[in-house]
Amino acid sequence: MKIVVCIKQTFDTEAQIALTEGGRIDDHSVLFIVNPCDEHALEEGIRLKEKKGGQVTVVTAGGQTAPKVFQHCLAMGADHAIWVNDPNLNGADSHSYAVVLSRVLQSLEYDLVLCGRESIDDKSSQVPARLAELLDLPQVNLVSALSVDKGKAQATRDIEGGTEIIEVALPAVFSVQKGINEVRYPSLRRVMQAAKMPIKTLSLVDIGLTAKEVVPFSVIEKYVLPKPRKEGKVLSGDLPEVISQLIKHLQEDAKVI
Amino acid sequence: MNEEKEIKELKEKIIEVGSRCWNCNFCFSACPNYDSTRGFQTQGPSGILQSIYYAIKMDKIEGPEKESLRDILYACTTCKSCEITCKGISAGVPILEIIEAGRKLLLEKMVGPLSQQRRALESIYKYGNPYGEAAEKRLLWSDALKFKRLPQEKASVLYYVGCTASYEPELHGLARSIVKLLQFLGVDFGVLETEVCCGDPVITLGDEILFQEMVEQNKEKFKAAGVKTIVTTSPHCFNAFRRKYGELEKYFEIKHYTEFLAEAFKGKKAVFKKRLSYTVTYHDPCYLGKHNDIYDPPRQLLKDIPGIKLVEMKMTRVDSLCCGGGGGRMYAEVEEEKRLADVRIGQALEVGAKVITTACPWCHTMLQNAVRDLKMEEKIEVRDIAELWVEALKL
Repeated sequence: MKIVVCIKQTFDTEAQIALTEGGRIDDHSVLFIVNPCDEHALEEGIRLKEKKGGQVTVVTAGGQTAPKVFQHCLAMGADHAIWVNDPNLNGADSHSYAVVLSRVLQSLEYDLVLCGRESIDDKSSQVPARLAELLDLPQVNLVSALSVDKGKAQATRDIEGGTEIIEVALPAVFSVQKGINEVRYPSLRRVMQAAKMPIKTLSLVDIGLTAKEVVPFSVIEKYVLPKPRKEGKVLSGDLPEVISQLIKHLQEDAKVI
Repeated sequence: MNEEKEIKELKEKIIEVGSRCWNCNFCFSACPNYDSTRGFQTQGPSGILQSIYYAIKMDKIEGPEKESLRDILYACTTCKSCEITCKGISAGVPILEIIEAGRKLLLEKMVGPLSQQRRALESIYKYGNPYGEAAEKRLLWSDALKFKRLPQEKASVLYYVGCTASYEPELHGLARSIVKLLQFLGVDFGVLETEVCCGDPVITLGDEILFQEMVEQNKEKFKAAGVKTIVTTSPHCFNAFRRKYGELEKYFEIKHYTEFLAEAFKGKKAVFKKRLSYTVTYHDPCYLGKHNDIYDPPRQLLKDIPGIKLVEMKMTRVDSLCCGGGGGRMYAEVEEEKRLADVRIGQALEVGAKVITTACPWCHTMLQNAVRDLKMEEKIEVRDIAELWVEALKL
């Protein structure tokens, strides 16, 4: 079975995010990682490969941290890595990424495409759906369990008050939720070994795209950190006293009553 | 050494040592994991050992039950009670060596560790601590305290603070207390400007190569600091430096802070300014007591404080009950019918203690959480020995 997993490089949310004066994320202060939902997609891909045999290819577009991020994917058990690296992808949005990924996929043979349900930076959840549309493939989103047999997949997705099981013919695109599996830990030995594995690097020209075709639909002007929240007040004393204090605060400070 | 050869050697070791266990099950009576769970055979020491032994024999390491095997091996707190019992009354099987080898094997095969523990390992690799905290925040605990920063400045003693005391706000007071006591004693000491994890959680969870990386980083830092003695807050760092770093003791004297302070205060009449009229009990951290036979220095430090009445719990010294935080369990929730730290707090209350002291940041955290969960804040307080000294000396 041939499985393709789409990967986004995102900043590590465990790290402190700092902004530059121009309202951009300061790349120097953060480490980049595999987007956590995509890591679950990769884990699912590797598990399917272990059960059914085949190969897992990871694909990413843009970003300068792909080699490091791919090293982790290859250490986990991916077989091939493809990186579309082109200066025209600076400022790319989900439309641009979907166009690039669809073009890469058109040059590959695959049975299923796995993505994370959303990225932890933009959280737009758009790439899997756009990708499926561009490839004219069936898609199942928010998948929490997946099984594959005889050219078909059964995907379970959570819906309000229950679960929905969808059977779909392959090839198809699936976006997975975090609960689908537990991601494996590759030892430092594996990470070091993965550094020696090749990464196929392509430009937009290599995949037959022009800069115009990946112009983003949306442009981020700048990022602004939320204002720090004011410290809360703890009211103490007897209950009647606390209630009258609370009413006073609601009337005078919050002005809601 | 290549991977295949190493895996073969790990398997051979487990089979060789495992075959020495005659399954007498005497170790079960000493095992806190067995005692605090539903009591399945695989939740006790020889059961854990047999699980990995037969998984290798039957070639099932990566079989459909691999996640159960992982859960069995990673539930152990590595307190060492089983090994001590086995050595005392049975075959003397080094059970912890098998568990460590089994975890290395599972990690190499990407079966281990538990999912929450994976975050700790990745964080140590990326940030030098298991808590996902930025390296530049490591010295925030020190507040306004002034001390030498190594290696820019030179000193004869290195105070190795460790990750938990550096990053856990509840334990900042402990690190500050140790600094104040070293200053009170006039010790020529300093703290590393860029300290990193000792690697204890890494080797405990089974990533040998990452551990070697931490060893190299730390050895270089210690060498550059030019110190003679290393004093640690945590018994886990102390144990790692002493027992897992090869021949580090050839070049440095390595002391846990209770041992260092007890020796430094010996014969000196400290002028205490406050009488502490507390009934205090002492919880032996496994990595200080069972792993390193240090039982008396912490107790001596407590006895030195005027006013303190030291009472012993029913499980004490070599029979001490594990807090449940060792063996990588600080980072993961495992199945427990009763929490070990809750049981320990119960034992402390039984003997009338108003303060339960310990000398390990992890034990401190586990006991503190238990006091909160049991809503016993009014009845008992968790304090570290160093904090009590600082209070009595009014530093």
